[in-house]
Amino acid sequence: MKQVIKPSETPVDWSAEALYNKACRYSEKMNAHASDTWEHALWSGLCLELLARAALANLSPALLAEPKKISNIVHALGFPVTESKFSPTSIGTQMVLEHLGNLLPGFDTEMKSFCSTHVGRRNSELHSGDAPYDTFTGVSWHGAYFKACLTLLESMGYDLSDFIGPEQTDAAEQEIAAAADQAAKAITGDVKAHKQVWEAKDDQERMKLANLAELSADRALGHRVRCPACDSRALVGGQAVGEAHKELEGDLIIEKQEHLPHWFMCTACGLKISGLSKLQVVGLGERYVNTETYEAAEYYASAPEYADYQDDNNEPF
Amino acid sequence: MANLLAKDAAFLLREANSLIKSQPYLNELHSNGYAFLPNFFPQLPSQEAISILGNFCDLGSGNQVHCLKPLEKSEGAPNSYSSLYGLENFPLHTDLAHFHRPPRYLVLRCVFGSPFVATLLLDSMKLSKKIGHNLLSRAIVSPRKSRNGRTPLLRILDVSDKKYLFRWDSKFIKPASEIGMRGFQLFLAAVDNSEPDKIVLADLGDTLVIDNHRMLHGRTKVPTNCISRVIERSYLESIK
Repeated sequence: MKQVIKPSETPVDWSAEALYNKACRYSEKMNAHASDTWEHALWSGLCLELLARAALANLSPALLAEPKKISNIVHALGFPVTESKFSPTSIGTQMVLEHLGNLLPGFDTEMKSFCSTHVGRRNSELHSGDAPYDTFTGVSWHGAYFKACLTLLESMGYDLSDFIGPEQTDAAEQEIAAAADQAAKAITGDVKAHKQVWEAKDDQERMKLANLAELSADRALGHRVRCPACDSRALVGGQAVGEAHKELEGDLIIEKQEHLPHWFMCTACGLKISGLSKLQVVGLGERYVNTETYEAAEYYASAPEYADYQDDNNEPF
Repeated sequence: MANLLAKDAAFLLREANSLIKSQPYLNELHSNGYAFLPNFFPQLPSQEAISILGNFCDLGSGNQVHCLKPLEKSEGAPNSYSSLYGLENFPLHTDLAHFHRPPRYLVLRCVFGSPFVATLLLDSMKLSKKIGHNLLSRAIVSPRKSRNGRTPLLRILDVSDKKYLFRWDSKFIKPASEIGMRGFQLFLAAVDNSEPDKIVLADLGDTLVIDNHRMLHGRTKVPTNCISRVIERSYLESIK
């Protein structure tokens, strides 16, 4: 179809490139300070925020636009805005991270949570008398930080070396590996501890708990797996990735959607694990397919109005 | 009479199109970063001759073909090279380096030439490789002044997505970070120590097509007896 009305280029300050270039400049500022200083941490937060915005703009600049006002989207797409006194507004950083979580493979809940907390400290630093970065020193957060940066960079066709240079990249990669290694040791220790407690119980108690776990591992609540500590039936749950595939089987609509796990719970031994990286260590980090079955009427019925309200005419009489 | 003239022009355009397709000028452009087409259909107006080579850039309102004449410093527009350098050498640069997207190709076409004034050409690819793409890709620069109320940050070199875009202008862009400063100084020194190629646009129709994302260009000093030199310039977004 012929496009008769064509947009101009995206406004340059909303372009992925301009945002990425600014993130590059901020990363220089970050690395100009020793890694155990508040300045280093502050610049890292600002840098991460811009990198996230660049990654989202790279998918589409319209995703950065504050959707409450259509003019913001029109502007982001490069069309002329006729509204008088128009000043374009973009979405907040938390919403940027939310969108990235939904759209970027690899930007999982754990990563999103880290980024959200890290950039959130910036608000406290800049808008209050608190000094959150003064107690956030040390490099314990570098592993998660550079892992998030790498995911965002790779979505734009870059690597760490393109962003922070080869000298810093070696150190960053080691920090990513060390963080993964530390997390792995921690979770392995946790599983071992739960296993020891489980094995100390008598046979009758173990059987009782295992049977209860079998009943409570409801498919409606998550994906059924075997617990790495006690081998009882347990559940993993996560977030949907990609679109749902629908199939028609007779009168039923079968909807299948891949999920990436980010939590695990065993009611038998009490083991709980949170975060994809930890689940991967214990072999529970694979994607699973969530299947829902609907009747056609149920699937296509509109959402009930006042769903939260009780029935009408519920006055006692 | 008008019909005859129209037929002549149409014939020339057909001839030019078939000649362009058979000429190796595209290979020259891709391998050297520029191509020189001596005496390229001098009978045709520049607008028509250049339209054979490629598609004009949309730079907003205004003509697609600009007329360039040597000017004294006092005569040049304040934001132009003429106002900065007058009849002296124009330093090596890429055109519109301060734009977010500089035009891909620059075309210079002789209207009234001079054998004593040369266009200088320098390949940034060789120099940027010596300095290092990683450094130049992280060298942040910004326009000397804001444009449309905006001052976007740019990079000297962009090699993402298998493309090569080099921007250089020692006056119209400035370093905007520490690495930007380092990259700027290294490249400035490299340019000062280089030997550019020289092309003389002497005769009517002499046409030079330059890959503006790769080649730096400049101009030698204009002797006082050559100030009647006239070159027409256009920007193309793509080559046919």
